Amino acid sequence: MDAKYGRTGITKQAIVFSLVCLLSSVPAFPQDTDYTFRTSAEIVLVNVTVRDKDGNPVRDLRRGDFTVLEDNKAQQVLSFDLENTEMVLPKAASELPLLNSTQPKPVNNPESESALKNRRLIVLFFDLSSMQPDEIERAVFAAVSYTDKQMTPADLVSIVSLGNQLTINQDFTSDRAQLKKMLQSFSAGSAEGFNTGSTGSTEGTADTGQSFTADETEFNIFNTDRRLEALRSVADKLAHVDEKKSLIYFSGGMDRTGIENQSQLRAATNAAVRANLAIYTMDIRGLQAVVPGGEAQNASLRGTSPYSGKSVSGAFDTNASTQETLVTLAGDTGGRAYLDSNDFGKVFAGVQQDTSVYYLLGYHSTNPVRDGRYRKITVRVNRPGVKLDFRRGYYAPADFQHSTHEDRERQLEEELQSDLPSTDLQVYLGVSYFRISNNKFYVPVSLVVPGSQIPFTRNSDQDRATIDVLGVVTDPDKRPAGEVRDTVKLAINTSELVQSKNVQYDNRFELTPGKYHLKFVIRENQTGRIGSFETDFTIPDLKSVPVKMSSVVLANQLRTPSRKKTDNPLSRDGSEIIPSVTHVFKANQHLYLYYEVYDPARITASGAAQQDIHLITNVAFFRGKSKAYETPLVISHQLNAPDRHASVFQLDVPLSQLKPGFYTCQVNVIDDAAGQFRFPRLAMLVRP
Amino acid sequence: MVRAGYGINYNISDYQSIVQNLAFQPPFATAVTNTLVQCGQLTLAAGFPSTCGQATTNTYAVDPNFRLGYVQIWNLDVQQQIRPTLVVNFDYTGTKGTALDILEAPNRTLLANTACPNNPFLVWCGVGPFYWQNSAGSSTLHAGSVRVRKRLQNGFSVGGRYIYSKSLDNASSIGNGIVVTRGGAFGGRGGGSGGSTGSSTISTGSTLVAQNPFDLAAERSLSSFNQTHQFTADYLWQLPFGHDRRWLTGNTVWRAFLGDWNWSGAWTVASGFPFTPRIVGSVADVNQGVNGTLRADLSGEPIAVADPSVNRWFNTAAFVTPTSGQFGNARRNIIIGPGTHVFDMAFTKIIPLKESRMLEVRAQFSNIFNTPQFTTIDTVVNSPTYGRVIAAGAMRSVTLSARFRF
Repeated sequence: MDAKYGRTGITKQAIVFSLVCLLSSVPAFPQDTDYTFRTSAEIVLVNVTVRDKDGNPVRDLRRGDFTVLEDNKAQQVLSFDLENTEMVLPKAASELPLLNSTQPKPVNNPESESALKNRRLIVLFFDLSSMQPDEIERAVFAAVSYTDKQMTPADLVSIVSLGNQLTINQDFTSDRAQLKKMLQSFSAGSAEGFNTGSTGSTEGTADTGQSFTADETEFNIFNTDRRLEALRSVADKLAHVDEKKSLIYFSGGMDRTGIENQSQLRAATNAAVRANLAIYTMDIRGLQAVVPGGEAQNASLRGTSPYSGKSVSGAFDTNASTQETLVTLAGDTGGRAYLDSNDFGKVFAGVQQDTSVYYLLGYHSTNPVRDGRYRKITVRVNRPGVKLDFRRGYYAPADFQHSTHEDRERQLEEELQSDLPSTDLQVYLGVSYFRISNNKFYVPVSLVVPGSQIPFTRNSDQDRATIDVLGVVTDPDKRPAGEVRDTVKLAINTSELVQSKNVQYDNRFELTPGKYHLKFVIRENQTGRIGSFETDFTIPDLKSVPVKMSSVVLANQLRTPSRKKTDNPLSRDGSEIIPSVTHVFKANQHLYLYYEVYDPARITASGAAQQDIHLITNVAFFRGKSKAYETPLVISHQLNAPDRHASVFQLDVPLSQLKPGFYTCQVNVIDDAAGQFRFPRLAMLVRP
Repeated sequence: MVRAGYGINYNISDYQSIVQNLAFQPPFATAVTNTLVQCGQLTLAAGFPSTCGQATTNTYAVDPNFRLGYVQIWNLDVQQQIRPTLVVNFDYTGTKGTALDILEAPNRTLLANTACPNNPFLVWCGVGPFYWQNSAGSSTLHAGSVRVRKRLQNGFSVGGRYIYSKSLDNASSIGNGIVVTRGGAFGGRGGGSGGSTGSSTISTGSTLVAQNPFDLAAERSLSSFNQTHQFTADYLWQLPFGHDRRWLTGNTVWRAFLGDWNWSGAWTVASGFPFTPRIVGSVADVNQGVNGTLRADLSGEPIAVADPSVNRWFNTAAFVTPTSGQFGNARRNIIIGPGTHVFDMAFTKIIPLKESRMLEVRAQFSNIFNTPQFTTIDTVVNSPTYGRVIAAGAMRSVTLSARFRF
């Protein structure tokens, strides 16, 4: 009895899909009776900068002086540390490839931990797309004088720039010479600061003699979004480093078009907060007078705006709006905005001051729920008159139930990339191959999961569950040759006791001969347990083989194919063989063997028709060394799958002939016309 | 923080319009309108008699001493940052326009010129009515403003700006050239409302041409773009529900509906633009080609009424038609038109998708409270709709938009 299930999701190569409960076949995998002892130590770290009235850091506070509240509930401070970047002794320049690292989480790497201890991580972000040539020179000059004079041994500095694209010019380093070299490579010519595009109205715009003013509103929106997106992606890159990081954003202002850029602005600040990245914005325009009627390099303005004062008012609005974005970026991420000042070194001093001496408090949240929600942190200190600076919240870790769709997809992807197998969900996989045409093979893949492992939710008369399947076939050069992404909904009659059965998922690839690596990740979506299975397999190049045979498929189930027209070789004459992955059978079942022989030799003897072939085959079962049973010979004179030049054999063996136990099943194939033979062997188990 | 600035802007688009106007004048172009009455019998053999009516057919001329108009702008701004996110600005702006364009129609007389049998309203009989553009105009503006801004932080921003200003001028056009269409009627800043957008196209029935070329001082009045009070405010609030917000962060149905909304709005209140009381269609004006330039006489009654309505926006009895053969003594732009009061609002829902992709769904309401926006009133004394509101601005409109960012 078969059950068919609906299919969701579209996959590249999955054409055939079947999901089967092996009903009367085998007992399921042994029930997992082990209990798991799990402990999690999620320490929330908060950096707290304490300054007195004059802005000098306060160093003499003790653990008892601090009160930490999470969502207004008091927390017990477990760890307490005074970090002092001023304590780092001058030593050889060190480098830390944090920005370029592809490893998603080198958290438990003690080497990088100690390298980061008492360090100050600073990213210099040059937004070339918003700067005029003179502004670039100013920014570079400020940064160079910082490396010359202000940079301390504790500082690890990296340089990022946004021109036509986001470039990591220099990863974190304390090598001043290297930094200076990189900074000086920004010439005035690399400026790409465009004036904000016009909005289609000529009123109040510079009169350049052109009769047409393009509407560049969308372009303006896009440009600002691109800058914010660059900030977001830098924050994402640094999210895996727990320490507090500072990003200095050199910009000639960031304009916003109405409310159009709000969503991107929020995405950028959220990413920075999540990454514990404070953005310090430096308006490299400095203190500017707003020139009535426009700067000297601009043409006179059109229209009545200069006469009515609207042009001046508009210029102030633009100035305020470009600065406001910088203030928002800084304020919402815990940094500071440096506007209207021609002392560009102040931003470096500010960063150093904010990060030089700080207390590192650690606590174990009293809220054990792993819901991925934002939790507000409040820190108080029992000393009046001091100013505290700390991150205002963090995101709780999320367990499977609270994770988002994106997180779930990422989890599958990460599991697929991981070198370690995951075994929370037991899964077994079988693969075979059949030739479709000369260089193309049909490769069915079957995954089996014990039904006891899938927690079904009971819903009236049906048990429901969904499982996610992600699989990839790679060639020896790690190039993907095929991919499967599927979500399968299971709905089974409660009367069918799926707990004691297996759930089988079938899919297939089309591949050329060669060596392959196959990895499947499967997850049940109730508790999020994941299992993976990977295997190497080879599809032989049959050209050089004497008797060209497909793999031999053992099965104990037939079913009606889900669709009439299919290129699945296992589906013939209105019935489809469900391959058995485990090769475990019961004595009261029938064993079906399926295999194909390609291009058998033609008989050349006179009298015989040109098409005739002569293939002899049967199956023998060995127990130990003794032959337990042998089927009668099957002789084929015709190709019964002429489109594939294949002679197809499907044998039906009642297992009642065999006593329970392990058997070696030998398939004998003799190509009498060619005088060649093959005897592939398979192991199988017959249970009482 | 104190900022001060000074700048000069030239009205460089003027040259272009002068060239455009002269291009349609003899000797560059000749246009003749021949009618049977004026020119006697027309024959095919002489279909284009050279002299018909007037010897000189030019309708436009420029002062040989014409100077390009320019404006000097000066500005003083005091900015006080009360908190990192709260900024207050006090601002003064002054402008002085010099050598602005004035369009006169010199070839006309109030007394019937008996020497001109065809057109007794002209001074020079052999010359048609024409316009004379010179650069004798000037303007001054003084404006003070207060600006308060709570910069966007933690998802909330609000700001407002109030401007008090007064601008005076006697120019025909400010900041734009004057395009005169030959042969047609002249016009332009329709009583003033067009001035706000700097319109310079000339249409029928306008006061663009100075009423009396010998009394330019009478032209000095409020500028057509003058709005005494202007107040604008805007706000943005990212509601604290949804992804990365305070509440409803979980993956729930509630978040799907209520989460990730932005609520923003803008409010504009401003006084009205000024309008000129005038007379259209007086025989003399039509014959002099300056139809619509004649202003009304003041009757002595107050102009404003306590309860302006659509049918009677100002005291219609305040103006009367001047005695025939005399210029009106009412000044330009002395009727203050309807003000502006608009509230725009937008609701935006941001649905974050994978990575940097997001879907924005927005409902944008212009004039959400559907306040009537009257734009133009009829100030033509001899018009049947005199004193009434004759045009209204946009009604409430809703724009629904979805934007996918990737």
